[in-house]
Amino acid sequence: MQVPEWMRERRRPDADATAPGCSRSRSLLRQSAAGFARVLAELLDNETIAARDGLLQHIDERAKVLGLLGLVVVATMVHRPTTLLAAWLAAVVLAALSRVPLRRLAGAWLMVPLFSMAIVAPALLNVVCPGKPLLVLGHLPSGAALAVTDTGLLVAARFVLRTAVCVTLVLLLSATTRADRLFRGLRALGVPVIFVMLLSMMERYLTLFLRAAEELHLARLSRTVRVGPLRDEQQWAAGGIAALLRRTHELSHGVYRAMLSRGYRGEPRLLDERR
Amino acid sequence: MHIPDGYLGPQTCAATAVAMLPCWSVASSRMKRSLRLREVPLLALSAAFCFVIMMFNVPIPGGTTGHAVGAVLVAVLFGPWAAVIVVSLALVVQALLFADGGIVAVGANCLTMAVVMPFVGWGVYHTVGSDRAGGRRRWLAAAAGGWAGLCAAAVVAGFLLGLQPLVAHDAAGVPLYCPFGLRIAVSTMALEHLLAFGLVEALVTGLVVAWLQRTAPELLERRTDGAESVHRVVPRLAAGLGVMVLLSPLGLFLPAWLHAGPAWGEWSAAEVQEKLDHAAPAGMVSAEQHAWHAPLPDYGLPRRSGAPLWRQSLLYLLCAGTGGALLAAVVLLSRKLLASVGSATADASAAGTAQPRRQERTLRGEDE
Repeated sequence: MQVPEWMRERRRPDADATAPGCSRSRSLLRQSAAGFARVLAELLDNETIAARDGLLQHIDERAKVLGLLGLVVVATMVHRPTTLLAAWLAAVVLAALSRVPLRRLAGAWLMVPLFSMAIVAPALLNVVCPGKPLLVLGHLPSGAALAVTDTGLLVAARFVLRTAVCVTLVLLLSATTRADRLFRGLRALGVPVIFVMLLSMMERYLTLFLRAAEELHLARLSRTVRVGPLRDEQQWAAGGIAALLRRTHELSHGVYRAMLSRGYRGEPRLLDERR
Repeated sequence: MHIPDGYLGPQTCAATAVAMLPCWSVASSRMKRSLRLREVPLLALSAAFCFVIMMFNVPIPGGTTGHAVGAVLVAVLFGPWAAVIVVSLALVVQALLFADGGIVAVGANCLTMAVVMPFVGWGVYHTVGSDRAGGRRRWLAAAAGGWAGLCAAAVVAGFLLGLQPLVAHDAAGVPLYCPFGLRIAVSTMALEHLLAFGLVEALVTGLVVAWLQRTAPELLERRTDGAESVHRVVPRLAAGLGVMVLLSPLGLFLPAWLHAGPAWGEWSAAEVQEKLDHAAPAGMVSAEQHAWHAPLPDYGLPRRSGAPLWRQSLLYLLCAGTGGALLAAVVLLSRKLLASVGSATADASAAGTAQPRRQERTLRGEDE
């Protein structure tokens, strides 16, 4: 199923976040709204990519779940940086054959592996990973040298590469499989039907709640001339969460009535699309 | 807090996933027993709600924002067992659809954020403030629960990360996963959550509960998992504590009976010297001489290490009883203090109901 063109429009509520005169709090509101819009866009992106004519898109979701998640487990157990680098390159080739855009991969790499790089940076030094010094950075107050070691480099390379491989494989799975099929594929791992049903329902209503949260921020932004004190802003955020909670309750009653009208009697069932 | 794949070794991931199986099983059976048919969509929608509040930025001093995990808020609203299911669902969707948190590490993430956090937070919420209380006491209890829940989850996550150099290393001792040991991982995770992220969690949990108290108190009264009242749990906990106090001298009798030495790693300088057959490190000797001397060192009287076992047992009982009583007194005193604050503000919060209702309609865009 193709996503209509109007749904794929990329809105950028944060586009003028840094415009002159834009107060910091207004810009924070815009950034929050942009965060919700970005996640919504990612969900829609996944649908679009999953509908493309690519290599992974033709594979049954159960085989894909077992295969790709199995590869994630294998990547967790591989320790040679060269093997991990080869696995990462293979995953990138697989992404290209499945027509997953590079910007989608780059977004994920920017988030997790770069974050991991920042976390693991101190492990490069001899104070965490002693080894043969490769580059002396300075001296500690005790007089000992502070240096980048070969062991530290090995540990950091392994850490970042492994994270990059795992993230790329998971991204391939989520981007090339429609969410409802992906959750049904979890049945191949023995996940109970009730959990799969709850996951599918959650994913459906997640879009709605993300949209509601985004609109909540945009509504606030459009009515804000001058930002009030911090306490008022915090009260507003708490009120927004409470409003979403109330909507959750109201909606769940409606969903339950709709389920009953479709014949739901407490037995969880999934559509069986086995080919 | 979301641990990505590659940070934890397969043995830790497998152990945490196995540890989660009974949690999910008990949570599911409690849901089945007490959940009405109509609550099934509520669980799924609450998981979506949980996902969204993890993205909801709250302004904090310094011109920046922070966001909450929301597990304690979910536990306060629906009960801790429902929170296990709801937060687990949110974490699985985050890992599968957004690569936020690992797939192999999903057991570890669920253990910290879907079990430790809601149960610790819910426990603190009910210990500090009764669920029937109104006013400030209740939202303060929720804030304390949010802070304690997140800090406990962070310490467990830090422990799992810090364990890696010990359990997963190559023949040369080089770590294969997270390279930071317990000292660095636990202290870093604990400090940043105790001083920064925990306060944001407390702020969000407390403010939302305060808002609900004023605008939709009926949402705070409902439970989906039939969580037991704290008034029934406290006497059982007290009885259990009493039994453990009475059993504490076993810690003396068993080592004597089994001819076991002192606890591993808890040696004095003299014992270290004896084990090493060499002088104990000078720093250790100096620290022992100049450190603060407790009134009952090693749960006994000072300089009476050679006392008969029955006398040491009596002192053990005295120490266990005194320690338990002191902790209980601190908790009860906190309850009393919060109760006096809460009752004073109950009327004020009731009077302030009208304005927030109007503000909430504005948030939902109904009156403009």
